[in-house]
Amino acid sequence: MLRNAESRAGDASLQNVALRGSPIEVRRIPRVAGSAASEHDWTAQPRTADEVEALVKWAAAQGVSLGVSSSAAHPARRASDPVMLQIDLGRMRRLFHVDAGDAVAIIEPGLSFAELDRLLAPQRLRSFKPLLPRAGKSAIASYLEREPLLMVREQWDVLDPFGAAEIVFGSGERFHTGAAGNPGKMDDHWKAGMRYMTATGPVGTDFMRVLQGSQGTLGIVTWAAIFCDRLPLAEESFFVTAQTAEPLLDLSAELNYRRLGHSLFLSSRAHLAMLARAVGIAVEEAKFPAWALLVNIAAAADLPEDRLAYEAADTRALVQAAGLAIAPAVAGLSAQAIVNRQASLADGDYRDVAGKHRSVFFLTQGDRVPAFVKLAEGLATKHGVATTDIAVYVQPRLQGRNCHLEFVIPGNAPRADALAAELAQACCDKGGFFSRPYGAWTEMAYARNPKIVPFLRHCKSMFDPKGILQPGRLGL
Amino acid sequence: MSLEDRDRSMSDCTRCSNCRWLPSIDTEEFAHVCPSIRYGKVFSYSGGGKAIMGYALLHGKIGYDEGMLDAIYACSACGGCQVVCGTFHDDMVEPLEAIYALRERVVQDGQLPASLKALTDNLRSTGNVAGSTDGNRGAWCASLSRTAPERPDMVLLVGDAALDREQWPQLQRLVATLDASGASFTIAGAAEVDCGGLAFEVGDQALARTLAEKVVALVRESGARSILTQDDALFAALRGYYPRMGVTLPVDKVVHVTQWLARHKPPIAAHQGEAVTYHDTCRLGRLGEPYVPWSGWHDAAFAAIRVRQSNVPVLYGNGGVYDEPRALIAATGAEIREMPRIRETSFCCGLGGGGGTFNPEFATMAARDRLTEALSTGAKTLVTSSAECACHLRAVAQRERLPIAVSNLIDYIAPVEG
Amino acid sequence: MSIETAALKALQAAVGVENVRTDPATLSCYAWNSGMMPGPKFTFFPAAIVLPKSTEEVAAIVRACNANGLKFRPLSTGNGTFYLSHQPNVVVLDLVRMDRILKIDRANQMAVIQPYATAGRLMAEAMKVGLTCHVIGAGPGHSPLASATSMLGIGITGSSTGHNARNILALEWVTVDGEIVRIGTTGEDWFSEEGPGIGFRGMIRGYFGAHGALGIFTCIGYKLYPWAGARKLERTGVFPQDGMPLSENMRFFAPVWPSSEQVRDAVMRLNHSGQMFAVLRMPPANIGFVLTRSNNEYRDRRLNGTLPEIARDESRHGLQVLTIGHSPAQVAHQEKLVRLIVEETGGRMLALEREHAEMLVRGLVTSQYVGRARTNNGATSYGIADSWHLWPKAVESAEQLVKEDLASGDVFTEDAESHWAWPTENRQLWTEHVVAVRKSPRGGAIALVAFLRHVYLMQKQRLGIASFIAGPMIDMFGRTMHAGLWMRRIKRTLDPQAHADASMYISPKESAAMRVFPYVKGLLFSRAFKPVLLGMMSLMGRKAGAMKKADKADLGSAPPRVPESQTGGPAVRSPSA
Repeated sequence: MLRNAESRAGDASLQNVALRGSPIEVRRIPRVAGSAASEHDWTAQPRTADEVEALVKWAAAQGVSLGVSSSAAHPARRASDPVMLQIDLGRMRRLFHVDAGDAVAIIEPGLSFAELDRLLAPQRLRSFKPLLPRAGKSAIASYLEREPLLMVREQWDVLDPFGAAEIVFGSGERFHTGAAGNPGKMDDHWKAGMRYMTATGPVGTDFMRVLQGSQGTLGIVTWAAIFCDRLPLAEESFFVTAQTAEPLLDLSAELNYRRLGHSLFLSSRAHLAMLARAVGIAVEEAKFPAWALLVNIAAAADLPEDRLAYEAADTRALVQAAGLAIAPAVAGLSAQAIVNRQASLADGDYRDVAGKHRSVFFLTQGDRVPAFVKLAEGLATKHGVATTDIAVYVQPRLQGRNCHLEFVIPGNAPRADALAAELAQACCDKGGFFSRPYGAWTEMAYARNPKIVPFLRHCKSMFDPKGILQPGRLGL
Repeated sequence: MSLEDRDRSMSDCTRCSNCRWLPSIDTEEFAHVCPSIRYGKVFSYSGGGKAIMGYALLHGKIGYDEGMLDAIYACSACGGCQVVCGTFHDDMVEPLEAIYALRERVVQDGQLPASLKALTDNLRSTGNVAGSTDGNRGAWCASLSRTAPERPDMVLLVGDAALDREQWPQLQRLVATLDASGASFTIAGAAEVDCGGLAFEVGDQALARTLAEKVVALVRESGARSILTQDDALFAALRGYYPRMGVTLPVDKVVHVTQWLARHKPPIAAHQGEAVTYHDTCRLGRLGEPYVPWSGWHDAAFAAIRVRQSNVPVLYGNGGVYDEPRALIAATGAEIREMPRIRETSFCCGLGGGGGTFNPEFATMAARDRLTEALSTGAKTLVTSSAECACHLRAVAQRERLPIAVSNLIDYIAPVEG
Repeated sequence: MSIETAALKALQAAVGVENVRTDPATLSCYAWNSGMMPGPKFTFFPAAIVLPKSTEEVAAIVRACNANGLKFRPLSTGNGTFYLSHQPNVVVLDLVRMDRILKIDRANQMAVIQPYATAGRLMAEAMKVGLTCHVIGAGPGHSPLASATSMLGIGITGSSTGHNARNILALEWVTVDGEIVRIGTTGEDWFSEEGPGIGFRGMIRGYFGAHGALGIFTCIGYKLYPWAGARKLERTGVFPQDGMPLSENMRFFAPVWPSSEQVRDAVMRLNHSGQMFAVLRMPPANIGFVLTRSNNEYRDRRLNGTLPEIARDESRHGLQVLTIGHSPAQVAHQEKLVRLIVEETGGRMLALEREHAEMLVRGLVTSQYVGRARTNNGATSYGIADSWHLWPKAVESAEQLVKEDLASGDVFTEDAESHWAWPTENRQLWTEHVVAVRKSPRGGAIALVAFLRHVYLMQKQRLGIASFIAGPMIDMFGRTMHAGLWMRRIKRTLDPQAHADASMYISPKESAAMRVFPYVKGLLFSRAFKPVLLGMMSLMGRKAGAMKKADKADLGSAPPRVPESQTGGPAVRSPSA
């Protein structure tokens, strides 16, 4: 890796990275605020996949580390860190193609959810989203991180909503996944009627799946086909509330089994309070029910009113059979308001109610959620944190086969840090699956399955043989 | 049909493995149709595997060894493979025919396993598989005081039950029932000979043919227009194996006793509300289907669709006897609780085709599997049409302490005397 | 090929003497070319067949093979010829003893299964709790684990049951070094295949699986799908034409349209609704094979014009649509929806005899009749996938392609083409062009040439992603974006000593012929060159099949009685009975 003292030489060669007479815009950025001018990283804002490829090849040749972001945010750096070229994909914001018939779009990674939805709207489409993402969040980055999506029944596979894509690996090689692996160019494919709906392949490869969750350590996605959500022609949202999570988890399982509800998730009281703030409603937290399942029924196909009517009737029948009740709003917070908020995103993180938050999230199955909640409550008490302060968010995934379980601990006091660390370890020990192990969780997740780690390293050495992409992340 | 004649059809095996499974599965535990591969596990035990081995043997790719012979004979030649193969592939492979041809070749090559050779040797020397020197097949009916009609409609053949003293009372009751219902029949009795069914099944077709011709002669001698039998193995031989060997019986039809009884409805026992299950034997069921021989070629219709040159139908076991035994049981008032594997895709008890003699472990496994299936229905009694199958199943049930009674159908429906 | 004593002992130590078979008769059943490949019926006999009972035994076998210079290859149900090794010294692991359905979890819509848990068995058990599974075209006898991890994995209920490549949850994998590794969740948890971090599963299972070339999968978490039908499929009809009763909440439709464009429009709208249990375009002749008891009956009824309308050529732009609702309201919606879409796209509903409907529905639900539809003749099938926009062009392209073959007199399709097609996950097109060929050496060569030309033309015409690209074809058609190159890297990385047999994956080294392929493919697949290609295929089959003397010597002592025939046996007429 290039160290600081060597960076001047690298500086010169990077300036020479030019493509088709159009130099890539490269800027120096100070490594650490207030540090000497010579101690800098670089940031580059490529506009095309060719430029990304050129930058990666340059970095590989120079031994310069690469960081990748889809927005202007840059990670905090220490003076001792190796020199890094931060590739900012924020300028790659094209929507190449969109087809309302198949609900597919081909987009670049710099497109944020908010921008993407604006571009899709004329086709009566919108993006699949996690719960209240930041407006500036790159859709592709979110999907690469496997953030849980609200639209449970549309997620057949972890890869969703990805279709085919283009990747520039750390080796500088470019690869087209899935249907894009066919001979020919994207425009020709599109003209012929292809829509890049197959994410896996070609042949024996499934590299988008490999890249998902790799935290940028293997390659850079320069465009991707994504499945989109059709704008509803009719919709209805409501809460089902309960004093404990169990009946709502059972109901959620049944709704998912019957493919009822377009979006649904489960919130604890504290989580509801966070959502209320996100939609601009100030309500005393205690007024919220202990637990609420948000159900959004949306119909976008033929006979929308008919569809809505049967889904609503069937859902109500299940709710009634469970001895539960439906409420369009709780303590002044309407379910539809939260759904609407998904379409007009804010910049901040909705969980930052106390300035900052700590979040512990992992995968489990719906019927095992109560045991984890109990565990979290016990640990909160031990750490002197009120159990009512812990927000719980359960997002069913994969048509209801498992779920994202998230504990949000407000604030950033050392107490929150300590609780988060112990809670993560305890949940991991109890079978919580940290499929997205950020930072310190990596070691913890690997410890649960040490035999897989050498194979993950194989991936790293194949796709990024010089180890330039996000060195250190995922322990690779 | 010789192995050479089966060359093409054996070569057409797609090795799809369907010949081991029911085409329509109700429960995962009882999904096999083939007891042989259930026992042997490796593919050579399946119907398709035997076709492949037959082809390999025919083309000099393999020779005989113990493994091969076990795969060939740890098999009751029950024909389950053939009806399932037909479900998917019509008459393209016909694995049971491959089994017959392969076994015939085994015998021709002098490779018949000793335990089975002993049976055919017995047949040759004593006329019965057990090798009993006291082989009087007329003893069971010697004490009956009845006069056969001069021109009987039917001739009663009872098979090896004639040599089994324990079955005599049953046979005698049967005769009484038939007489009481006015049946016109004569008893072959001492004139009866082994039908050659087992000889055919193990591959000694020369012996089978010789015996079949003797049966033809005695039937002709009787002057009857039909053959009546309570013996499932005999029934299958007359309806299935004789046509395959080109042996023509001088009668209009072969009737199983259950068919006759179901039609004539004699007084039968009462078993009101008893939970029973019925085991379709292969030899009354799919192997009891009248075989229609055909000769000719397969043509290609519309360029590539394989069709028989003649319109002889492909057989799927539908012509077996399935409804009449059930009707008789139902007439007793018993409640039949069906097993998952019934009728054309019934699961064999493992006894027949030489399987029980050659490899008792195989036959025990098959019976255990079948009895477990019977138990899964909640039935307390398993009823079956074959005395031999009943005996085998009963022995395994007792040995393995399985809580189920096994009854021969004729016994089960017989009215309590007095 | 006889196995060394030390190797045999090592295998026996791994699984017990009784679970290692080396007798030629047993081996022959694992060397059988069922006709999908050119060449003779037998080429390479495996060194041994081994029957492990547990994952630990699988790992021990792999280690024993590695220590003794043997390659290995796993096998589940072994449908088709994908079990064939194209080299000697291969130990076949027949996973028949690992046949358990370990768990069916209604609440989480999943199962945990071993390699020999077949789809038919799994479906029967899953239905008891209101779930069902994806069944591929091979029918209920196939292994969902093998299909999901190692093959293609696509079946006709894709609308509601997806695609097996995407039905995998956690995996248990025995590596080529005999390590037991879990991918995704661990321990008793089988609910996720992803991570931690990198999605490693994408390295060992692509659009097409590795056929055991990267190790052996011994257990998986597997997605099941909602089933609102009867808990047990009762049988109607006369065996073997089993049907099933349509329950109150089922609706079965057989709409037809005048054109493929209208079919496309209708399917896209049906897809949008997300309400379909199954939508299938089955060629009329194949429907005819199902609805008649034998090929003879099919022939006669086709000739005398008495086939049901759905099985006649004029119904070729038709679909079978099955809906199953969880409530009366949903059922009503589904029925209204299908009728509306059919009407608005210019279609009409065919009237069906009840017994025909019941048979077709059973076929749809279980895939039982997919195999039957190909009964009694050779066949080739080439599939593509992507958008339903491609459907009219796929139809047209197939029509052009088969025109010449039809003229040869060795190929059959009803009228112009013979596509099976259905939506996967209520959105994508899957289509597989199944052409019946005469079972003869020439028919076999025609099938292979048709297959190769179709893939070539499909890629040239941008008709979606090609499937069934395995073995040597990877270097031919997987060159785009260097998929073959990456697969070779993966193989070398994960299996540097080439322990696992890669006959159906990628060869360790690209051959010279494959290197020139890109430059000659235009000529090779031109219409003018077709007769030469046919000749090459026939020759290749014969050459590949030449058995080595050394192999023959160990196979037993019985002399050949007749000369070995090539795949398919006599050309047109064969004696029967």
